[in-house]
Amino acid sequence: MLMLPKIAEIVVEALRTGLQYAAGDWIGTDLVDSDLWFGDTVTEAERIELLEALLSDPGLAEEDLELHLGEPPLLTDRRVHTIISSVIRAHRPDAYIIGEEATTSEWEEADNAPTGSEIITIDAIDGSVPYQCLGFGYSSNILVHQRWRRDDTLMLSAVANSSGILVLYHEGEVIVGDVNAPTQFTVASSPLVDPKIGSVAILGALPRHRVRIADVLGDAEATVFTVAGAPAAAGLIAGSLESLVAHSPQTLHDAAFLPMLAALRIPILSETGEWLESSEIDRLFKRQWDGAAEHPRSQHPCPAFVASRNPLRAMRLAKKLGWQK
Amino acid sequence: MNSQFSEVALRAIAAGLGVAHKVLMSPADSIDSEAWIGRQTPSRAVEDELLTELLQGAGHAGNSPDEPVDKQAHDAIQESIRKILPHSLVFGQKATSDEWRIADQADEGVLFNVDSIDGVLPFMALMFGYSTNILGFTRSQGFDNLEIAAVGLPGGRAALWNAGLAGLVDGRVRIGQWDASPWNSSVDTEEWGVVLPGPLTGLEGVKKNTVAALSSDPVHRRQLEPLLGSDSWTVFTTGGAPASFGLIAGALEALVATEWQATYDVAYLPMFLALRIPVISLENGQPLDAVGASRVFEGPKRSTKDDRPVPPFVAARTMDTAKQIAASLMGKA
Repeated sequence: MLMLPKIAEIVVEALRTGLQYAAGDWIGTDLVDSDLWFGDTVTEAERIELLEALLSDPGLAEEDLELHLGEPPLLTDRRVHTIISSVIRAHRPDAYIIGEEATTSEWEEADNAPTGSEIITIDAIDGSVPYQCLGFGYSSNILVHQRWRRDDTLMLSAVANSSGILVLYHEGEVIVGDVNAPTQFTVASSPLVDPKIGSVAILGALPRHRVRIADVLGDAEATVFTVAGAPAAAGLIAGSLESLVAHSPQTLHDAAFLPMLAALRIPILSETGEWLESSEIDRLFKRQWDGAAEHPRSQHPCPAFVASRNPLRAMRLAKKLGWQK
Repeated sequence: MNSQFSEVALRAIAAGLGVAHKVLMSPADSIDSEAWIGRQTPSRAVEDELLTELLQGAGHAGNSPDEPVDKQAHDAIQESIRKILPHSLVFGQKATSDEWRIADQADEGVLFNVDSIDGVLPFMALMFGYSTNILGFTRSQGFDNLEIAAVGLPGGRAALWNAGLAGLVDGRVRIGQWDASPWNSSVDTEEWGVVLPGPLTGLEGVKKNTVAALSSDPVHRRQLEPLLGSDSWTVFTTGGAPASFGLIAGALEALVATEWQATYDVAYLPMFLALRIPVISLENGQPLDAVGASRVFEGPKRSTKDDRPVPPFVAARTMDTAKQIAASLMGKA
């Protein structure tokens, strides 16, 4: 059995709890009905604690909604954020928690965190549209940074998709498993299975996105899934997905899987034609609170990119996206 | 008996999806990513290898017709079913020819038609967007009666249809969590899940202009061109049984099946009928009514291998939407 560092254990527990809640909320089960929600995995006391956290949560104010990135948040987004926060805080009461659904005061507290603090970023439901419409194809993402003076250095990143498949990065290692079976995690030194040639996940369900990826959709040799980003990242690492495309700049929590791809030496080609290796990913994932053009809440420091197990495929996709002549 | 069928189905779903995850997580040798070291230009030999792979599909491991994980999941499902109903017959997408033959020869008994992993392509590539589908029926004097239809998603959700007294449209549809842990198949089926009140029509709670259709491969993308080329539809390229959850309990407006379907592919159709979700055939533009659907699931033996009795169709939360999509896909828009 693989022994996880304590912080990784906490993150896995938080992701498991958040995903369980998201799935239950999608079905519309009553929060208080333990049989329908958590089953036997959470004690009555823990359930009550989580419920209290939800009930006492102030929610997002007008100002927070205006600053929210991407699609307007669902009620479930904030609830899952609150659930994940409460699990983390139960183990790490001094951690500072921010994220897409964090409030302005949570961001301000994190801004003023002292050196040595853990700054934990949550993207409660990455892929709100597929969550809402399909009930799958979303993920919960968590980043753990450590504060040093005014910069935050990445310590851990983790993504768990709607199937419960976890990919986690910690100190150069990539761990793969099912959040519901933590005794069966494995360390991946390379992607677990060979790729299906020509398979690509690319953000393209919405009409405005399909216009941008028209040449990829028109590729007679490509298998194209119009979902991308963190929910599909496990496919590159533990599945047979060959390529993943993010055709616009990404926030750190959206791109929480990039350190894993770099650690597994999966080629990542940026929109500007540069190959992003580990040292560059490390630099991108350092969060700067001072001196940046935008507040960390609004930053999209990761450029658009194609990640592909075959670098020639990455170059071909970049060309189809009009990035390279 | 209804409760027993529910228990069998939920346990089988847990067993099948559990095995699927385990197989997927088993590390295997792979050299692809090691061939590329950061920013360095690949060596000529590595470049040649990658080029071959790119152009010819050498080393292709995905979506092979004999994906062993399907079979392992099927076997786990069969074992799970027979723990409770030892004399039942199990056949389906990954059954052997003998299993199909034995099922087809039986005139009496309890039978299960299983698709252990519906959506092998998204299962392997994305690790979501797949399901386990189970149909359970009783056979008497060579005549089949559908008792249960179940679709389970990874992550712990399932939708169940239990037979009612007056045929398919009278069934009861429930949705709930079987157990988030595939390794822990403890299932209490007595009061399991939430009963969905029908009819489920109209646009309340729907995200307008959203459609799921199996269209990740080029052939299906061409069929779906009227939707993919439109500037109003949000199109998810994973479809089938996994996406049926979106119509049953999510905000999805429509679902399209682009090819003829085997019975185990459409284990969700009884749920659509019970919830009065309109379904229109893309073969003739006609609504699929309860009588037509009954012939798919009930009547003289429904266990012939390679039988694909359900035409391509569109299902939607309103008849108008179903008609609109059907017309555009049939070239009549």
